[in-house]
Amino acid sequence: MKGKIVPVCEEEGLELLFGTPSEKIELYSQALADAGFDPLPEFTPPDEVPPGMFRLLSGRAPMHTFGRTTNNRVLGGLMSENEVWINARAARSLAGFEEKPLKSGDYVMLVNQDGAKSGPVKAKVTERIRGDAVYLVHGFGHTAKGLSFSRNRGASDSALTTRFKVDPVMGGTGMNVNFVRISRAEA
Amino acid sequence: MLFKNYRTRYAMVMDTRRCVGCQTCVLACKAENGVPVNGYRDWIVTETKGEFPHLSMEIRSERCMHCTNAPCVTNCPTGASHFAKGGTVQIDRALCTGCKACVAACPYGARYVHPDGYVDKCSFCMHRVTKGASTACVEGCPTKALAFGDLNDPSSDVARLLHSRTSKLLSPEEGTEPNLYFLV
Repeated sequence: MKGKIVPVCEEEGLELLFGTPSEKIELYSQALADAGFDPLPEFTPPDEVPPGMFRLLSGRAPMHTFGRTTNNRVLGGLMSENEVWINARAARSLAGFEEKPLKSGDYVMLVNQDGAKSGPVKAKVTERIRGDAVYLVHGFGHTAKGLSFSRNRGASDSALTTRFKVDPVMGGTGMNVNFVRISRAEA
Repeated sequence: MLFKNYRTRYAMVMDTRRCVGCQTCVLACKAENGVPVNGYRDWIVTETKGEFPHLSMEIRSERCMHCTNAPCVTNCPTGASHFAKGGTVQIDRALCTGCKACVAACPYGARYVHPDGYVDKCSFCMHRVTKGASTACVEGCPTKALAFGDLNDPSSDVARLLHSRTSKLLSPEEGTEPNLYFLV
């Protein structure tokens, strides 16, 4: 056998080095410190939720792929509209619902801090969410006429995401920085 | 009961710890069995216990339990609902008048009325099983939360799972002796 054997793993004698100045995993990064950032990332608390409002969170449902499949009748049969999740304790003390407390299945409107509106969307009163946030499955609340099945079903988290934040170090965007107010949908 | 002695005893085992509630089983069943738009032969149940943040949750994929002591069979006035191969409960569509006595008798809500006038439900995919395949829901499940097989065969998946894990039945007090086991 000719040639020099090049080790490809630790067992063959490969030296494990990282592409950092110290050639190690850096919890404290001098490069970040030199650039004027926190060398050891510090926790930056998110903005406080304004009174009477909820932080808008969004996520996915397993049967739907982004907003593309909500118009599919077969998949739409499994989930034809999204629901706004609200904590049961928070729902009991919700402003504007003193006379008739919010129940699962009631239709509500969502308005965000900039006046963007979406709905009507069904409420889901649940223990599976914290009290200062509400949750929507993404991909609903379409307004396009061509989406004959999914149009006007549920609320759009995209329409309510009028603000975002940018991570100053690596540029990632955070979109769960919007706050919504819940009001009963007019019948 | 007359029908209890089968050489083969088909059963399904559903692992509530593995299930994520994606409903692939529902879709696989609809596609395989041509289930109409508003009918379902299987469905997902999500149960939450406790108060935030101290919660526990159970997700179940439910369908006809193919009970050994099936109230739908004893309540069917025409003999359409009957015990068949492997102890499964099947419906003879030609005999079914759509009277819904079985729908009222079933404690699990497993049956629906097909738009063509007969009552329909899970068949344990007997058209596939008799050819050596498993059910559509079992083959579709991405987390392998479902198993199907012969309880009388000690080397089957269902027998092994029930032997090694803790399981429960739904509404055992109904006396239906269901054949869909839930691992907890």
